[in-house]
Amino acid sequence: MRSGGGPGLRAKLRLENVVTRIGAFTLGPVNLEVGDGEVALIFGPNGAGKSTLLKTILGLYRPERGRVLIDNIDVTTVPVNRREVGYVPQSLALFDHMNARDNIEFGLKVRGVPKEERERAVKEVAERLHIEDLLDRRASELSWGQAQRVAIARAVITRPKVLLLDEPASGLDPWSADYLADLIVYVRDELKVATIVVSQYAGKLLRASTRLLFMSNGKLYDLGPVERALTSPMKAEAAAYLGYDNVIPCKALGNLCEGSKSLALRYSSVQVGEALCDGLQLKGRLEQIYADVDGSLKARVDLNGIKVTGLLRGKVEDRDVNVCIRIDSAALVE
Amino acid sequence: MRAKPEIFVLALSIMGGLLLLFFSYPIAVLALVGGEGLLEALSVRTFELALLVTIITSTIAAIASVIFGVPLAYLLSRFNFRGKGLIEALVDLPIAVPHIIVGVMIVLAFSWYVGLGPLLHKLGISVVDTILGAALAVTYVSATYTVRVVETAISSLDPELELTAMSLGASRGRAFLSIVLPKIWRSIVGGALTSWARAASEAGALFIVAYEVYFGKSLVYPAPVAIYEAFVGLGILEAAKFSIAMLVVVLSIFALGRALLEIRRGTRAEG
Repeated sequence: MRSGGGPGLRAKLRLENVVTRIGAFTLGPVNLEVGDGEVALIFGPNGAGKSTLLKTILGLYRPERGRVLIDNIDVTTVPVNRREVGYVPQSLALFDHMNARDNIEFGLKVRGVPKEERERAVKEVAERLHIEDLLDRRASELSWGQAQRVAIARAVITRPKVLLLDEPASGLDPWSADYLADLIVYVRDELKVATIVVSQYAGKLLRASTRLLFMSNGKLYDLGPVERALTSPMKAEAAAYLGYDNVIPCKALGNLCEGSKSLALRYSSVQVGEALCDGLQLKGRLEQIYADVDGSLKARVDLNGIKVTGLLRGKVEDRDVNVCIRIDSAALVE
Repeated sequence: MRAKPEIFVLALSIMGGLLLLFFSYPIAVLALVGGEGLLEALSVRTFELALLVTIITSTIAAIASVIFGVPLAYLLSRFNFRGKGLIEALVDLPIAVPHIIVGVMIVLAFSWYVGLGPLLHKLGISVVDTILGAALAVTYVSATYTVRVVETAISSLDPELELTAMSLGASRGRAFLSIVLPKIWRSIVGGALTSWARAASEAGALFIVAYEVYFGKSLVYPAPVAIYEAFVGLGILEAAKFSIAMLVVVLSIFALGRALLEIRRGTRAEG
């Protein structure tokens, strides 16, 4: 299965049947293509193999089978320092015995770039990422958001062919997460680096992404471009990560869909307490009514043993309630 | 309002305090008994030479423990490989082997008719009763401390630091020198100081390998052996005099090293 790579894009990074074994865990086989200017967002639960995949691309782990190609060159056995892959780990790994400037120019220094050229490059990237004022500060004096900008500047200043961001949104407040998305958009649109972002949750990074991939138990599932992935998440587990509140097995819905599959529905497609229904009308037992962060009033209902979250409609006076499921906006998932 | 101390914490303090008392009480008595003869002991020419020999051999041991111990510490902290448990045990072995046996082993391994002995003899390198032999013996019993201190320091560093440096084009060696070393040099110096102090206090192995060493034109006892000689020949009061003298010198050097480390740390923190 080919995963990633927009139509017409030349793949900058290509993984062919890559299998990596770390202890008892097996990643793959993974097939993946990411082109210049693409941002592939890989999301999924902890322990799914997302970081293992990144470290295989980076060259820390050598695949047991398959090939890693960058610019159509097989780099499977090429060491980390010769792959030209930029990497920003979850911890950011800023060198805290250096200031921000020394951190950013480290890669250029290693490559023997002359001082004047280094200074010019640092100035340019610092202006682009709005970190000019931070350059002389020690890494340990930076806030997390500032440190993240410095870490990204350090990773992109050497113009890597591929950029890997491991859990960049983890622990960020909503404003910093928004700013991070802006940074990734800059890397995508201005630098046109093929980028892979790994995150447990898609959330705020969706707007910076061009393609979504879901990872579970070492397997990678291509959900396609963001818009398509959001309307057709393919996997029940992926649907839960993409804001689908309900995954209802087809068996529970009579003959409405194929028996082995499920229907993924957002809460807005399930209306509780509605007498008039233009979808599938069912009876359920009300368990809880609560207000959610989007200001809506939600109801948690038991439908013959299946827990369902829906939008509360009207006044509910009894625990036995009508549940209206609008199937037209549901997604069929496995 | 003053907080009432917890009974458990009080109990811990008493138990820990007893151990500290056990450490310091004999030193206090030694200072009391031998203190008056301290300057006299330090003016005895043969004992001065004995201290010098001990300082030289301990310094060689500390340097060797850094040169060979830091690479080993890095390998142990950063790589998992088959047989690692065996190597870990081997690192701790010198602490478990009675030091008199270490002396016997060093003589057999480097100065007898087996192993490297014949080769070293052919090259004119002698181990018994030489500075080299004394340094080998004290390195054997003290290098473990540097390895363990440095290994702990490297293990506490985020491995992503080196990985990130390598992703930026640095070789593993460059990543070690530019990223790891600046962050662990204090632990290296601390480990070397501990190894130095342990080497300076060694007597058991020296009884076999270098009871006396050729130092210039004279034969000199290493300081711990000199104290033993004083004890056997002149009695415990004479031994106390030399003991406190050695203790003052060794602890002063150790404390000075630690103080310099702390001053550096303070300067960095302020800067």
